[in-house]
Amino acid sequence: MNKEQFLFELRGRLAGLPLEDIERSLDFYREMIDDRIEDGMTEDEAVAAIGTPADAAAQILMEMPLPKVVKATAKPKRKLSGAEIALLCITAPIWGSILIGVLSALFGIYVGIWSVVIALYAAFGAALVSGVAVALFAAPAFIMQGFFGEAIFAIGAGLVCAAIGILGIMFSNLVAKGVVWLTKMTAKGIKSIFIKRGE
Amino acid sequence: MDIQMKRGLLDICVLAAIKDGESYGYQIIKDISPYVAVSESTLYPILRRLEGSGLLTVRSAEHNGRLRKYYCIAPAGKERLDSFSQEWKEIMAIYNFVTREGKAHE
Repeated sequence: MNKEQFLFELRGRLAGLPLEDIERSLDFYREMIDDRIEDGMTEDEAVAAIGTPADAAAQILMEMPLPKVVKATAKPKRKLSGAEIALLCITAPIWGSILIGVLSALFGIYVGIWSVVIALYAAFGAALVSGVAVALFAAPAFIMQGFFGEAIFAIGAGLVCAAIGILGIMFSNLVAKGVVWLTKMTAKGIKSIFIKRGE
Repeated sequence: MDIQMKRGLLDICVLAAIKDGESYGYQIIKDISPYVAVSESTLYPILRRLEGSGLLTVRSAEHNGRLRKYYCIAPAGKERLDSFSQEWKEIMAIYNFVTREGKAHE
């Protein structure tokens, strides 16, 4: 494979990305091949040393944000015929509603996961606030009325409640981090499905 | 080597390759490859990422009638290298502890 063939194939695999991204990538590989040739390799050797356009494209796409990847790779291999387009339009109410249904279900599940996280924060946050409030306000009220035993109990109970709140918030932080990590991993997984399909 | 670890180390190696002065893609590969295997397709996303996060800057200059890109380390890149060596001092101390010659329990 010579330089122009390599760059042509790479351009084809990146088609769909913004033009600026494509040109920057091609400039980089052009420079790399030229530098190897200047270093004494033949053009074919230089291209072979760079690797395959498929690998180069996959690495570039892996670094791109998910929407760009989907746009770049989710394109039909051939032009659709008029009849096919007409058929797609006529059946759109069927597959369109199924697609919307599936997407909304997935979105619902994702929102559901986050609402559990928010609920955890709310519950433990409430424990912290009410614990502090009991220790600060209820105890002095008991003391003023002469109930010293009750005052000590209120302080103790308030502190325990606040401690549970603090521990719970730390736990919620861990859960939130886990969900963020899962989101990232899922995005990565979806990306690699699209990139593999593009090959 | 663990893939995430290698990814992080490659970033550091690229910064280290330009820390004493600007360099270009092929030279960076030649400088790093005795230590870590790196290909063009791995290097390109790394350079884009490091540029995007402000750890290096890029300029184009003419070379033998064509354009070549030169990469120059930014202050934030130098900071990254410093914190890397600091972290590794701690890790080396742990390594020495893990691999010490067993002379206890005599």
